[in-house]
Amino acid sequence: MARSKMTMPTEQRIMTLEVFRYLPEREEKPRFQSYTVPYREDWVVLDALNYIKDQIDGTLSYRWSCRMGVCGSCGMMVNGEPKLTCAAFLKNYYPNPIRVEPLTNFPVIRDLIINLEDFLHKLKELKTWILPKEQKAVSQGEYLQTPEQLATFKQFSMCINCMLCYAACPVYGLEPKFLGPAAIALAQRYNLDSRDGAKSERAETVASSEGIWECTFIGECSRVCPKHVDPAAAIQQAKVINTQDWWKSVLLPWGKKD
Amino acid sequence: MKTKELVRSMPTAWWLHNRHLAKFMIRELTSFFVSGYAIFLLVMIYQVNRGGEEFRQFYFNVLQSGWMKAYGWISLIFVGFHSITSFNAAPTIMAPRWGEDKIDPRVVIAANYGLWLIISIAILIIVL
Repeated sequence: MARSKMTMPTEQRIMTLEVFRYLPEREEKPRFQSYTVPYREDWVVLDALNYIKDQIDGTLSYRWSCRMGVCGSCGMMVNGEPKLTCAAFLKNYYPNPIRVEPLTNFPVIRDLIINLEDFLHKLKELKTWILPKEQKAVSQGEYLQTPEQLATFKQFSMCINCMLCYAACPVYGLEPKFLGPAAIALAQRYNLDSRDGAKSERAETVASSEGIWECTFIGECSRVCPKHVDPAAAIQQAKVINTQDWWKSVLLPWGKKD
Repeated sequence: MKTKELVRSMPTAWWLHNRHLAKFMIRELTSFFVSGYAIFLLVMIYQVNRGGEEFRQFYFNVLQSGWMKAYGWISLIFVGFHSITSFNAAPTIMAPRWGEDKIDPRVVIAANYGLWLIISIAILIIVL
């Protein structure tokens, strides 16, 4: 049975977006610019930004792609909270104005576009990919894994690299060398993967002072994560595993290394 | 042509940005009371060891004083807050599994409280 739609009032409802602008080739300092957009029940902040770019101000620059919460491109600060703008509905803010800013803790290239080189560099540093325990030729078949083995790391594999956790993390804001929630969660994802054999290769970086031990378990990363990865859990569990491994190396130095 | 990137500094009052961060900072500050109480217990053990008249003087001059009682009540509140928030965070740190399934976080929390209760009762029995 079709839902009956609410009758639209004859005057169109509108919303105000206060958008962070930074045009380095023209202006020394950043500023906020106000735009008025139509309010629609099913619109998200990204729809409003697209309306602005299409109908009002073509100079506005920002990243977006899938518009359905899987690519991680459209992360921005919405009223001071890191959000995927494709998942932030206007109706949750109406009729109050919405302030849109680039993700905090990252340098701004232009308008709402941040420089994410630091994050990409950290992913590489932590070798966030499978380094197989045993090399197999294609003809030898797949690397098999039980559902229980998959379950140990599946949650941490849901990360879409949106960097909302970095924007929320005060430690990353105060110490940019910190590897950060997503990179460590992804390293943990591969360390827990039964097919992977590179835990000891990653260990020095993971357990460095800029790694897991920089984290003070604030928990903001997990609170803002749109995919419920729970990076705070990944980091704390990595601390436990790292401590156990250290004790093993001290008490059983002849023991087999993972 | 590479343009100048804007680097924004973190405000000093970052921890007032939302209630979660404020709660985190309060929890961190309660650590002073936790360590303070641990030092106090070490001093108590030392005084008990001295025995006799020295302990009597310590008991009446220090332990029975108004400021000591006030410190005790304040410590109880902060140490309690610190302990409760730590136990509630336990499922994040320990994530035991049963096959494919994660064990209910409430079971982990209950186990922590249960152990706390058992150890507290054991200490009370020894002390009393």
